Amino acid sequence: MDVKKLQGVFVDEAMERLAEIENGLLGLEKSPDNKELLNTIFRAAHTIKGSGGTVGLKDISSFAHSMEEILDLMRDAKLNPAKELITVLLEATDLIKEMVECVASDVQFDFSKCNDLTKQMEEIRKGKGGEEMKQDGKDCAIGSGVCEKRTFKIIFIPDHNIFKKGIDPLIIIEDLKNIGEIVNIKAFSEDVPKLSDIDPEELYLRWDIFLKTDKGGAKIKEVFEFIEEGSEIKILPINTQKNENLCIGGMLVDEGIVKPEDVDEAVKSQKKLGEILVEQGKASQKEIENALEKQRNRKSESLKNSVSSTIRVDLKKLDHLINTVGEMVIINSMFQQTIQDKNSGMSERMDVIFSQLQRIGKAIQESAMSLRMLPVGDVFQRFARLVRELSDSKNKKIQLIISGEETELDKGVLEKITDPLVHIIRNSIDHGIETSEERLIKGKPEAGTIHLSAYQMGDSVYIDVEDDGKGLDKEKILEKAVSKEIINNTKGLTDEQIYDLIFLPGFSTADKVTDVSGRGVGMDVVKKNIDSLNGRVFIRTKPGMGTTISIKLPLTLAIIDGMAVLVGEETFILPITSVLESIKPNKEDVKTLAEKGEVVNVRGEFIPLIRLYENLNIKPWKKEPWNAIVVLVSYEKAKYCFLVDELLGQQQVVIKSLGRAIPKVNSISGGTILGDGRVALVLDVHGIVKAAVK
Amino acid sequence: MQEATMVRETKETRAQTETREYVTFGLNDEIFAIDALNVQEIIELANITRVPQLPEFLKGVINLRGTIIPVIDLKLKFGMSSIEYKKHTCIIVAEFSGGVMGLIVDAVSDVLNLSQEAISNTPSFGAKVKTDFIKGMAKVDNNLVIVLDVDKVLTSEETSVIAEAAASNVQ
Repeated sequence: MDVKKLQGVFVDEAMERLAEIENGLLGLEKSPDNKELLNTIFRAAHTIKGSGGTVGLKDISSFAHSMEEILDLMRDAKLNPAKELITVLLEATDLIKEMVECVASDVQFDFSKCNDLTKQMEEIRKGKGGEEMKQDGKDCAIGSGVCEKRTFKIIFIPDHNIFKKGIDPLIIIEDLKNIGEIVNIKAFSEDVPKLSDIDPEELYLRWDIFLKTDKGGAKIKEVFEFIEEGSEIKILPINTQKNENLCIGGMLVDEGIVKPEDVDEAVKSQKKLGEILVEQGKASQKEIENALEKQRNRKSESLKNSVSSTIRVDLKKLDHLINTVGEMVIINSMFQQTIQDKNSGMSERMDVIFSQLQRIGKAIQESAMSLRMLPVGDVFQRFARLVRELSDSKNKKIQLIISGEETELDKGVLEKITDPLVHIIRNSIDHGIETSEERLIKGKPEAGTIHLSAYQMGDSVYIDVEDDGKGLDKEKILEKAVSKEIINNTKGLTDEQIYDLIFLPGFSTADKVTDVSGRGVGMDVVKKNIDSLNGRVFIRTKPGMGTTISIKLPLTLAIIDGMAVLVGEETFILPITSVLESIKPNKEDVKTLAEKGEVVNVRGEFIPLIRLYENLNIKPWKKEPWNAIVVLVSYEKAKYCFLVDELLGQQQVVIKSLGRAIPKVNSISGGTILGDGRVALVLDVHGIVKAAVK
Repeated sequence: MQEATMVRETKETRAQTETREYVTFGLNDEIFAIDALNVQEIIELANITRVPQLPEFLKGVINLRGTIIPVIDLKLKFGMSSIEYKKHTCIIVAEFSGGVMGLIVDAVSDVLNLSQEAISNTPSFGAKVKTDFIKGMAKVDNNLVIVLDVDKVLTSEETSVIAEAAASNVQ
């Protein structure tokens, strides 16, 4: 198979594992005793090491190996997950990520970058290394320390002529050390002849080697590959079950010190902990049983968790499925129209069948769409890292609370939302939350809190970033806006409008430019990204109490609810999320403002009028707004009146691209296929308003 | 040895006389042809949805069984006079490197087998007439057939000019 292709698979997998490691490490910092978490991290690091080696990326593999060794020490409780250690491991994770990215983009990674970290890890390991060897041997002999690794007994009786073949058995043993830990090794010298009979070129020794490794027997066999001929090699896995429960007995039996029967007898005479407790009256039989039941349940649960319930699917395949389903939705509506047109005698039966077809169609559509949905938790977890590092570098104490991780969003939306969230959180840390001293003076808890939450309401998903910092300073914003000549008049602005100023390009209230934020790029990027997703941003702030930035996003991008409108002879779709209402204005409500275009008086509010037919260059049926219909559209908290000829009704539409040969037109965001098979264009409110305002 | 030579000879002759199928169509009074391999299908003139702010020859988009594809009026693209669409006016759905596109033509007339040698090089018409999207010309039954290079027709500089124009529109 093609190595490049394999490496591609490796990149995908490694990225996932790296995310696991990162989240795991951050989790471990909070709950250092979580063995399951540590195991997950270890497994992930191990997988990277293993699969990296398989696809020929030796450097990644060996780097991951040093990481794995430290993790192993942590598993054996020889290292504590202290902050410094976690930081080192996180840095290592980042480096591996860089390496993997280099593999992905086919760039040579500068491996000298790892030298420092490798050394650091080596030192950490060595600091414990000496003890480790001793303790480890002891560990297994006593049978404490649950080993996930398996121990193999290797009986190695080399060929007497092995030296003549140019093989040094010590090298074999060194090799074994590389794939695992040699717990015990015994050399048998009974075959060594008398000194006078010794041929120095022959080998008379044989060994029993106890190797603790997480690799299978096959890997061990590989080590012996070249000397198989003539030598006798037996690789016997020592039953792990036995290893845990009867470690001492098993070892003794294996080493021929006691007989198996003796051990069995000794074990039988031993009582279970529960029984002892009952006997001593410390607990009732029932309580013990309950506890045992719980233990069993927990075991089965942890097993379930370890088996991933996801499969990886190529996004292209998924898109194809969704396209096909989209087509089906269209055919459905065509079908419906056809039956309604030809209202014949059999229509009743047809109606029944059709409604069933529609129901199934809807179910398929929904499940296909749900395939694209991912929980926001994956993205949220990344911010734990961000907050940790930024708060360190800013010398602020900040805790991040995450809620609603299970809320699902379209994959496309999720990808585009990450950057805006980074900006928002950075801003909160940099500008929002005060230093510990300031907070204490104000009578707030020393540590600031950022609450990142996601929830679904109606057909939108909200993501809130709430901090308990100092809140937005209205005066400061206005001052800045005037000094930067963003606005020239501070009068008549509502609070909301003032807060919205921070989304304008080139706006920053931070007194000093920091590496975190304060360059005045950021919030405008936030706004732009979210606009492109048909989403909106809201700010709520209370001076001294904190700021909440709330992002509202549509559930999905591919299928939207739309309002079909007629302009001239053509049908257009307006996304329903931007439609407020539609009205038929009176003649006297439509006013022309000198050089400022037209406005419509809607219940005392003057709203600018945009004649869609002008923007779209179409000959309309009705030019007078009082004859036609005005659709009230909200965009960026302002309202606009779109003049259309007729309203055709609300419908779900599948948004499709117009094909690559059609360049991006600023008033159109895509196309959709109507029930009668015609193509209708989906209007881009943003583009239309921008063009009209100019 | 002799056999081998013969085999080579037949191969060579096959290469020379290799014919390809071409779909011919009319634009006003002229006959054009494109490689049949580029033609996905030929459909009736469907309802074209006009897209605003595009050059005249880009007529808009149509629904081809659930996929939206752009259509261009070849006559307008070539700067020929385009009168109203008639009964025989149809759309050739052609594949090119940039995807699938519909070409509006007056009528599809035939599928021709043309050998490579039958197609002669395009004569130069001077700088006024652009010939870069013409692969060559062939004479069939006393008629001149203009063989087009679909990729060049649909990706010629005009398309990029359009893109630029649209881009500047956006700003």
